[in-house]
Amino acid sequence: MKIKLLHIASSALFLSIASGCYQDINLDKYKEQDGEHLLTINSIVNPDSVVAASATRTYFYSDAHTGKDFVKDLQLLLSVNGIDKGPMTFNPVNNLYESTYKPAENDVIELKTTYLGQSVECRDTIPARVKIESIEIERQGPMHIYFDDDYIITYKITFTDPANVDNYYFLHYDDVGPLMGNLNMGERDYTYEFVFQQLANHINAVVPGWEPYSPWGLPFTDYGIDGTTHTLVVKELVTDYYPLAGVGMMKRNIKLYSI
Amino acid sequence: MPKRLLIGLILATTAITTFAANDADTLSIPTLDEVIVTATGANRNLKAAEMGRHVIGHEAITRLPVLFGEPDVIKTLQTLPGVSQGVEGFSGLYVHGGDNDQNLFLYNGIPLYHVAHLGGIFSSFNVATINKIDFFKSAFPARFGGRISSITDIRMNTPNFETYEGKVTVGLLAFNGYVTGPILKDRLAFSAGVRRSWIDIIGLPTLAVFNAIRKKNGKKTLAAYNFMDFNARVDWNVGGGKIYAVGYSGHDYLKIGQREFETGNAVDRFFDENSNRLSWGNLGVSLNADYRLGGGYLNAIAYYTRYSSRYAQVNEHQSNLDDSDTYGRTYNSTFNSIGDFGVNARYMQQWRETWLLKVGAGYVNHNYHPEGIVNEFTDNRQQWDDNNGNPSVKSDEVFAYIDNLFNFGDVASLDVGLRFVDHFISGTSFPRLEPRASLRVNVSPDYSVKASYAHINQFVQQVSANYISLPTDLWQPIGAGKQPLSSDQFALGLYGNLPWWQLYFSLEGWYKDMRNLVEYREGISSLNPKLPWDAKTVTGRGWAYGADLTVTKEVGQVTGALSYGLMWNRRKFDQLNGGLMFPAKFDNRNKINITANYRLNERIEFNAGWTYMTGNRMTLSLYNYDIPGADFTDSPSSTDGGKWEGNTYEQLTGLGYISGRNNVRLPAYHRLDLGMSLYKKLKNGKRTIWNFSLYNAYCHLNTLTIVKQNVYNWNEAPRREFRKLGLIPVVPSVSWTYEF
Repeated sequence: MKIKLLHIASSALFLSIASGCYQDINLDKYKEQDGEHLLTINSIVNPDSVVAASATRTYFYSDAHTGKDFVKDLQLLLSVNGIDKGPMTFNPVNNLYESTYKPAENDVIELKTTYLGQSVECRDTIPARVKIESIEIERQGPMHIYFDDDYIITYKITFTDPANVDNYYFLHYDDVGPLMGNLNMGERDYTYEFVFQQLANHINAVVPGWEPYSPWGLPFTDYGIDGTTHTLVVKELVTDYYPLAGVGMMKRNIKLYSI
Repeated sequence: MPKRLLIGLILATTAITTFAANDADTLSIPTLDEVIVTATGANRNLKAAEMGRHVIGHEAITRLPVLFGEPDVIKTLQTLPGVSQGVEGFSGLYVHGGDNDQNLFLYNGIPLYHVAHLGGIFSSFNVATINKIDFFKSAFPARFGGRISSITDIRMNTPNFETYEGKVTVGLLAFNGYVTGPILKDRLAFSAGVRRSWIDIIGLPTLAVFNAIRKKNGKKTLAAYNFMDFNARVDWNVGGGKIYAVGYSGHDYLKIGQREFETGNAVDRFFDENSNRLSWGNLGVSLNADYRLGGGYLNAIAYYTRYSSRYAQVNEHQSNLDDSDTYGRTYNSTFNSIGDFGVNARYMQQWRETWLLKVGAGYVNHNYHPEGIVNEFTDNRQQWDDNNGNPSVKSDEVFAYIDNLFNFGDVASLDVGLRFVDHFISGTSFPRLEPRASLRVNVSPDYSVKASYAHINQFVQQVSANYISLPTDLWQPIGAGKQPLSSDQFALGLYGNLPWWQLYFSLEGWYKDMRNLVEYREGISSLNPKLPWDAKTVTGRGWAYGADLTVTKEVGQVTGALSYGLMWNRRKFDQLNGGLMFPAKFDNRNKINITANYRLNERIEFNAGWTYMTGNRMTLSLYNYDIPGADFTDSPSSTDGGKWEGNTYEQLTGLGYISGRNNVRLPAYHRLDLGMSLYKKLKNGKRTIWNFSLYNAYCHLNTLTIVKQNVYNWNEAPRREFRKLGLIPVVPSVSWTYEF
């Protein structure tokens, strides 16, 4: 009986010290000090389209925030390789500042503006294009994974990394979109690929337990593959959950970006 | 790592008697290692040349409001002014603006590198084996070196050469035993202490109940913790002196994780297990000799000490238990160790009552494994590993010192010392001179003024990549191209006896300048095995200044102390925070400690302690900024413009913007602890003690950290809030001690 009481007492004690409690805290006193009136310029520049940028204000985390707070009256200047290309025009339809310039590889793109008396600038270089040298596709199945007639599609994407330079890439593979008779994209599996395991190791240093997965693609570096011709191995799991009857094709988009 | 850890806190508050021992008093005692205080604390407070020194005897430590029946050395020190405790629930001693790795702990002359079990619930020291603690936080005697913020010199009990005695304490989470006695009466004696936690045993039923509930969801919590430490000493009286051997061993193991598996009648069996595993421990042995030589005393010691730690993240999974090909394992770990072998000798002699001379010299060999990284990946198709080979770095250190204490009666005393140290590492020598000085001038029979200066160098630092300092943070020697950590500390104080209730006080102002502090670079992955360990860090400076006030009553039925500390604590690294100065993590502006002890009679004793401290600082993003979303339809991470209309969560909420390091101050910390001890003498002359204590008596949930969360409440639109996390509620505990 005494042992049981000891267990109960210790368990209660255990639970009391193992429990924690979250309570709201008001940090409004930091508003003026810490980040109000900041401007964020975002621009994703690639040779497929003209240079465009958005300009938004930051927001205090606990404030109500229903959408991006666009700044629409900036004079946002574009220069390419040090040459001024003039101001960009604000488009109220997409809330972007747009130019008429389409960048090329190795262009140095610079955006500059003034906001509340402060200069705001950003600069980056268009990387060299990466070429997919070959794609091999293998199919395994039917087999039982989730259901009895599941398939595993393996994509082997080969490219060459330039040597002695730090390079960064982004891989995205997906179906081609709504298309009658086309098989919808299955579950992506990046875990068999070395470069994404390196990504996981890097992230796990801060966020333990992270595994590589995203329906929108993942970035990776050339750590471990520098200067080599490397074959990315990623998979797609096609399950029998959605009947395959009526599906006549399996069109896929595979995009490898250098970023 | 799961946010909730199995932790508790021991509050160790005590009626601190703050006094400075006058070394001249010790020469009348036959043994060098025992400093038996014969004068009152008030007397020492007034008349000793030293400043910032606290001497805590065995009785003072044991009369504490204890948690789980365990008085604690570190918790006692945390109640002193000028000492911050760091993060609640985790070990920490941040003295006069310094960091946790800047404290030297000597266990009978053996340096120990990490001195806490279970994040600070229990310190590494078995209080039953301790005779006295000497704590220095400003004027450091020349015989000490290697750490810039504090010295904690812990002396063990001398074994009993006459009879056997000891004590056994049974608390809710650990067992503690101590025994001492003669092997050959008057010639050879031993003492030994052991502690072992039984959290892992007692926690099993709780964990089993918890996991039984979670089982239906296919989840299981993995949690295990235990610690053990062992102390031993053997003394041999020989001729005009003594030879004694001391040993210490302490080790912790902690595992936290989760396992997921199939539920109900699922046909396919699988498992996916993630766990974090920490282990750390100290081992130390020494051989000592005390000998009366000429008109003075000679002490020599040879020791070996080793600290090691390992942190591992493990993932194991098998998507089909009937197919071994679906098994995979990822293992990432860091390993760190330091092994020291040292010898030193010191001699002291006094001429009349005027001049006390101490000289000494020594050698230490350090063997570091500053960062062993292992990354392994295994599945049926591939296996690879990446590690940095666990590099080893060795260094040698020689030192010599001279310390002179001049007494000019009751008028003044002057302590002047010089320490020379030369540290050899990787083909580079770092010779350094460390002057030390302290002066006391009596301005009246009841008041004295003191001043001190100390310059100290430190040749090893512990680097942390986390907000919370973990025992597995890496101890690293001086890296390539870097200089040793060093500090200059000045102090000025007023000391005296108050005309009421036999109170005495000390008021000390201090300033500390620190150079070559080490921090991780921004954006560095500490787990990257390709980057050399010493290329991951940068150096910078720190400044801290403030004042400590203590008022003590050590006579009468009610004893206690009131202390107040005021402090500013700053850092500046050229490669961090944009090169701008920023507040240190433990920039606790105000700290108040009140401790009281009331001895009702021989059988009942009450104690209480109240702590207030300005909150710690942390880095928190208060604003969010937008990132590109579906508005850039050609971007790689676009939600496939045309196929998806929406944005990802991050594209809707943005990312956190951080304006600077340690930009937010946590709410103030305060806590009341109460304790009661019931003593009972048994017919056979033995004694039992029941101790009841209440930690955090008014249940103030002190803030551990602040997080950003989406809050979903019934019938309300979701909202975003900053939320503070408090962990430790009111915790009652009881322990039983049998003294024999």
